[in-house]
Amino acid sequence: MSMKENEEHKLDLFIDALRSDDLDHQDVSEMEELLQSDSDLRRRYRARMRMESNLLSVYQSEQDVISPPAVSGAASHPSKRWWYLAAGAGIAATVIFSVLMFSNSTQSTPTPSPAVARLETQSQTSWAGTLPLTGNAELGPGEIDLRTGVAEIRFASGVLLSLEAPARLKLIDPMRCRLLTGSVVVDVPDGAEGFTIDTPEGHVVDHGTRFAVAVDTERASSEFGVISGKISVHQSGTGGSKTLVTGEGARLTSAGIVALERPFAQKASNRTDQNFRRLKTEGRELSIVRNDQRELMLSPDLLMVKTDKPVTDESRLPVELIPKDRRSLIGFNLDGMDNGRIRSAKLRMNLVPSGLGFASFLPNSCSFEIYGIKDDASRESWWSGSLNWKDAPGSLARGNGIDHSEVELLATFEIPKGQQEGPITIETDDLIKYLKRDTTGEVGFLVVMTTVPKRSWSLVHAFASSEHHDAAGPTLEVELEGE
Amino acid sequence: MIKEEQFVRLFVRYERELRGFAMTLLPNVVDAEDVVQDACVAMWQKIGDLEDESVFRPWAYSFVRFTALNKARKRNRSPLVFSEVLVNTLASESESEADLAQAEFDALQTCLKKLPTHQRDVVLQYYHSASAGMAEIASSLQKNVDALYKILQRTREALRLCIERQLARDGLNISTKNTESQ
Repeated sequence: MSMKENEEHKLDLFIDALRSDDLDHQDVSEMEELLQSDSDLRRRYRARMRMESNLLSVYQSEQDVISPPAVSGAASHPSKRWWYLAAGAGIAATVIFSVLMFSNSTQSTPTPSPAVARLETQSQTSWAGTLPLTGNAELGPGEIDLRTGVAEIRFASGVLLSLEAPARLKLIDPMRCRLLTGSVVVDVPDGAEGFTIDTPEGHVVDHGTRFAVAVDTERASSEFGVISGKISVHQSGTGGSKTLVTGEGARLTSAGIVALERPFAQKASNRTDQNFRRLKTEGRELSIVRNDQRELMLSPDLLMVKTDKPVTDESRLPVELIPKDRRSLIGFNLDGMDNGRIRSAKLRMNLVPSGLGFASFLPNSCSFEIYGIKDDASRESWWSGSLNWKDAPGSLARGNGIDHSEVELLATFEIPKGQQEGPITIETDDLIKYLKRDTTGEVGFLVVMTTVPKRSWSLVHAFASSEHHDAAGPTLEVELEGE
Repeated sequence: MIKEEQFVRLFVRYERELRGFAMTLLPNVVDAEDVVQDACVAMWQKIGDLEDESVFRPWAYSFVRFTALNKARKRNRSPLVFSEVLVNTLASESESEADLAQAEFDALQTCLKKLPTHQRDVVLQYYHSASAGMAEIASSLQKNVDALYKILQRTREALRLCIERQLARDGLNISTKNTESQ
């Protein structure tokens, strides 16, 4: 190795080690000496560092890593790159985010293509196979295998098919596909009537509609339900067929077609115990953000929680630069329950990726607190309409402290750095006591983060709201003492 | 004087480039992000000084350079910061390469598509999961850490060479440019 090559090699090793945290003063001064002495080396260094930065830009913008094998070409998503700016920190993120939304809506230029379909949107998806692929990928004929998440596929005929994992779908042509296993919801626009989905047991032909199909390979059955419009289902063995209209359903097996009064209903809860209740929020859920820029900073499918890096003198800053602290509120109607008899209670939430901010900027673990909102008539309808930070239960008029006269601490929990998915279950005596004490029939919870990150642009934690496409919203499970 | 929305639009347009610039001055992503962010806040506060759009880029570069120099002054707090002298040298040279930065980004995207699948998977995992450690990434790819390092090294070198070729093809010869800037 020549001296020059040797120095270049050292430089490369230095850059490779940047992320590993084991560089010390000595390494940096050595590098400094090399760079000071040689302009070629500096040029190489600059190009390499820009490449590092560009690789981060390319890949950190990809929220979803997917890899269907049936790819005929992929278009990148230039505007998505800016997602992390919206992470909401001590920066002009609010305004930037608004530009972002604007550019998102104008930059999507549909590409004319001979492909069967195009991947339109995807959430928390992972696919079998190895080819990484961005959104808007064009899909040729072939099989796609969705392991997790939900993906929307737009056929060239205009049909929009929403595929729910786990699912395998074979794309045949713009008017036909085959669902091997899994569930789909299909929207057929005017002009695409006749769209056909094959299943192992038969096929369904659309007559202008929105409908759902689920193929269960274990039961060797396909189930169909019409959300609106009309479809016909055909059984392949017997040749039998049946027309279904809005609200109707049918199950296909090798034996034939059975009409279903309530399609997709057989997975009902196995807890039918009279003393067991599982409550949903039914709309009593929302997030608040300290600058009250709700439309820009929040999203109805996510219950966001974040403590932002504090700034020194807030009063002098424009609203865009105020820390973007976020909290979430969740409520349940006890629904005439005899809450004095509550024996156990679980508050369940599902952690989901928010797509906002960097986990790298968080400490190894973040602490969260759940408060019960005290019975107080003036706070009862907090979930209706848009709630400002300072008017929310538990907020102080200024800053991000907690007003303990309005809320009581019920539980704390930790989320390790990097974890962005999974269930969180709260089950404490204080939760039971709080529920038993309720006199209004409405209970409410406040979720806050207590860990203060050292840097801005840190990850925004989020829990699925009941509007989330994939994960279930918060539930409160209560078990009562027998009468 | 430019309007606030104009500023935001310009910032969004150049943010990636500014981050790349900051990375050449402070060789780690966290410091570089911090510098761009602090520079953005500083620019926002001085928005009235910006006469028109055409001077945004050099104006923004100067904020980033100034913020990075400030960091270099406090270098005893962080081991990964160069001296002010070197930061200044790098900044002047990087500024003269501003047009190259966009071309490099385009070339990188072309080059990524040319990578063999196993290399692309590694790069994707590594840069996508910014917070994950090498061991974590290695285990998710069912490789050992040494093997992962080797693949990453080879892949980066392949990308570097591919980008150089791509730029040369587009008539952006970096070595010539560099000599001019000395």
